[in-house]
Amino acid sequence: MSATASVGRSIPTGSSALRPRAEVELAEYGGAALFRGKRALDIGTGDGRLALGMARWAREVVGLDPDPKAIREARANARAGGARNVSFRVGAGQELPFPDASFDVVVLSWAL
Amino acid sequence: MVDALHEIHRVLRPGGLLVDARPYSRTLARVERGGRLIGTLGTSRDALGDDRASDRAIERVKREGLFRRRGRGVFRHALEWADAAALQRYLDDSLRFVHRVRWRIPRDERRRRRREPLRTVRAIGYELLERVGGER
Repeated sequence: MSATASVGRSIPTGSSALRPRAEVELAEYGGAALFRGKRALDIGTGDGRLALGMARWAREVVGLDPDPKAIREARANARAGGARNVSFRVGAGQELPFPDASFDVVVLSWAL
Repeated sequence: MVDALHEIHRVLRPGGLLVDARPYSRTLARVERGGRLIGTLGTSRDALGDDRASDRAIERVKREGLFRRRGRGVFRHALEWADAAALQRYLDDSLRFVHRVRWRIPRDERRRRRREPLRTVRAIGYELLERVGGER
């Protein structure tokens, strides 16, 4: 399976435009079966590309990224998409600001 | 990296799953035109080093008995480029790829067709890891 994005001009190399579409990537990992009814954490969420994709199935999704600008963008994308079960926080993977055993699924996509 | 994996182990419930996905640097990325392979892209030395460090971190937490593999796979990710110049601009800034395509076509063909669209196809590898083990 392949994911295709059209890229013509200069795009920042960290941009979501250079990553697979969320629905394609998440389907590879198990899609709805992996996330339905679960509480999921997306580490290195960036602009929320995958977190918002997971939110279609998951009970709740939290996106975490050390870049406050990315988190602002992710929140704006969530508002624009009407996603109510997703939230975003600034933070790093080395010190996760969450209680023990609080997630069913953690996604590290291009983040380790 | 190991610290982050220990943290992930802590916040996952027993039996929970970690998805670790990264560009799969064991194969070269393809540069195609009209479905034909016309070049390849290697991974930068720094990115290869990062990938190896990530692999070692994953192996370590498996050895520690914190995670066990539930599955793995590789899929393809394609990007379309307006022309060779657009691809080169991306490569100039890329931290993952080397900055030059290793072409498999003659130079005159490259020049003659330099304004035609290109596609890059790279592999993404992933592993599904189940959280096992007690508290650390």
